[in-house]
Amino acid sequence: MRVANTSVHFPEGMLDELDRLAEERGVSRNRVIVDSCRQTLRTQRQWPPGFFSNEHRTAVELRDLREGAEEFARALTTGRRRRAPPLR
Amino acid sequence: MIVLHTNVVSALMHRLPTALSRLRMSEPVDVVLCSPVAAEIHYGLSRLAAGSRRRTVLADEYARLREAVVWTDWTEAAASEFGRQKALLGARGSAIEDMDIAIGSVALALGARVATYDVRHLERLEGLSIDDWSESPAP
Repeated sequence: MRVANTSVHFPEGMLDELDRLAEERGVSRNRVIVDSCRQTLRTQRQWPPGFFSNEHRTAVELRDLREGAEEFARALTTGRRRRAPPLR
Repeated sequence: MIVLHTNVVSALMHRLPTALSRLRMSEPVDVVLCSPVAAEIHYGLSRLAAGSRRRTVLADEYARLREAVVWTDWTEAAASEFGRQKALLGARGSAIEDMDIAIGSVALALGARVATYDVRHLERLEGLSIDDWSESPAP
């Protein structure tokens, strides 16, 4: 497998923590980092579980949300139209 | 890659089914929330009564979206694009809201499209690709 090298700057202490984790797992520091990157890439290609479901909301909350959508959008538009007075 | 306009973020926060269907067509890694949009959303939230159920629920929905997608700050490239676009619009006598120029500039700097429910103003920005979410989502 072809590999590429790069330089990464870690916050102080994180590299020590990674080394401890690698030792516990009996793998290299490189392996821990690559596995983490792989996991991040996999996660970012999928929406979080339940993201498109409304099960986290009660029926009342959902009704409120949908009924209030236009009002919220209108408030944002109003904010845009307000301008500071011209400088003199 | 798509940059969500404020009106799209608002629709998603309100769990509008057509907006959610449209979002589902993209992978989260290709969906961008940018700081000018966040500023407008925080303004909208701040206008709601503190501690109200509505504000709490909407802030929670915003946080869920923010957590799931890619974030980008206002960058130097976007600032440069903003200046260029605003000057072009001014020369044509075709001013639009600064926030729309800012959002469009973030997208142009990233080489992304803007997802919006209102193409009227954004389409005046030179070179910007737009996803019109007011159209029905593809099956």
